[in-house]
Amino acid sequence: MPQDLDEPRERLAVGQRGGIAAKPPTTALWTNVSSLSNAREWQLDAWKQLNEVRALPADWDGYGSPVLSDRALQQACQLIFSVEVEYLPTPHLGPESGGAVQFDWCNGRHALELHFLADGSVCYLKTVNGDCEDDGKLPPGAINEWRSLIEWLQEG
Amino acid sequence: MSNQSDPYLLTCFADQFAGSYRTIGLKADYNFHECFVMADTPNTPRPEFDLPPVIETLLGVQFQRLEKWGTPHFGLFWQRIRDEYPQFEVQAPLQQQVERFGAEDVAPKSLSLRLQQEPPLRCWFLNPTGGRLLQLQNGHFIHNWRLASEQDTYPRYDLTIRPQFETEWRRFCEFLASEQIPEPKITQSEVTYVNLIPRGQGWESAEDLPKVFPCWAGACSGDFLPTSESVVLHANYVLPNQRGRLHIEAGQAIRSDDAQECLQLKLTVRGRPASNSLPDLMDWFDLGREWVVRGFTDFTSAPMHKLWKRKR
Repeated sequence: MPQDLDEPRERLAVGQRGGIAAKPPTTALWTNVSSLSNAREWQLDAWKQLNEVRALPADWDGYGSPVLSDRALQQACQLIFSVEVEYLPTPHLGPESGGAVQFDWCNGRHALELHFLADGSVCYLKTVNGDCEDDGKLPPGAINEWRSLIEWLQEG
Repeated sequence: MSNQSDPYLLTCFADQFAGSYRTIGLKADYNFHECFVMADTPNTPRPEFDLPPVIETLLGVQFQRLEKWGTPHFGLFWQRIRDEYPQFEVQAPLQQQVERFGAEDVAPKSLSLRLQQEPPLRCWFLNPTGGRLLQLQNGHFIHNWRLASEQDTYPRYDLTIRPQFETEWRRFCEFLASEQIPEPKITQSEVTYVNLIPRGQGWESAEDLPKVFPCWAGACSGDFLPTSESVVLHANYVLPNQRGRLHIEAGQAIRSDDAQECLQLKLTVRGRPASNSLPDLMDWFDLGREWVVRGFTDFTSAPMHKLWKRKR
């Protein structure tokens, strides 16, 4: 019998001793679909929060903000389900004006803010014990850079 | 008929949390539910749908590693197809997956070592609309079609999927010949169809799965278990004369493009063509596709067929 048929192609795996390693893919499928049965608790929690943000109507902030943009939604969802990490805490998600969504992630001394903007780009802020360590902006789909950020968060 | 006697294995995973039990997953797994039919193609007409929920198809070939293939050949081959596939991506290499039957399946695995001279590499060549993909690795040649936008429709196997693969495979073999690389020795072929059924189209929760997949009754013999949070089904069927195996997988999933919750129904047929020749390869694909379509139809319910506008 063949091995597992349902390995998302961009999954990341974290071993017991930490450190992110790419899993060898066993599927050549193209579409990004993630099985709910394989999802971690933090992924399901984050996805539920993302749906709550998505459900907000236009002008949810009273200042005319549009609804969450499709591009930001897509990128945020891709981040949630492309990272398979065993022991990651659940991020807190919140809406941002302009059709964006923010992830706040804390792990020990390390904290990571991700802002998925309406055009799909991501602004990030890394802090250690509350002090800024690094910040920057990533283009849409920068999966390798996402990996680095999550790996850094893991080290907290 | 199959002599396997493990038709239905139901497992429940419970997790003690905050002093109470809760079900975190329910998995119905009836692997080795294998059946045989006497003819490759039944007499009944092949089912056809006006609005099938298919979002991706894959036709692929695995072959023995080409000894004369080197990294520069990826670029040389791309030159030939670049007009149609102007974008490329580098991906992690795929593992070989080969269906085994009977004694092959229980034979102890042998350890093989090979000195790797080239870094393992898989190249993606993409068309401009994002609807077609060629995947090339030393040992794999794959053609994918996917729904690139909501306006797209499934372009049909006979009209598009099959001829496109045939054209690309022929072009690849011609390229190999021009580089004095011997023709690939095929070890396995694959047909995969991925179907997505968004929540709200015939189902709302795991409770509704029997309405979509009649083989799943969702019933229990007692009243201890609550409604299942999620269900995963996986069934395998052997093709006549062991020409391959159909794998059907169904379960709840999230589509990353829009965070939409869906039921994913994936049908994969994998097996070995009668020979390396193009007609034998295409014959095998036709058989695989036949099993995908008939398997899809059998596995899903009549009300869903109505939703997908079944014509016959």
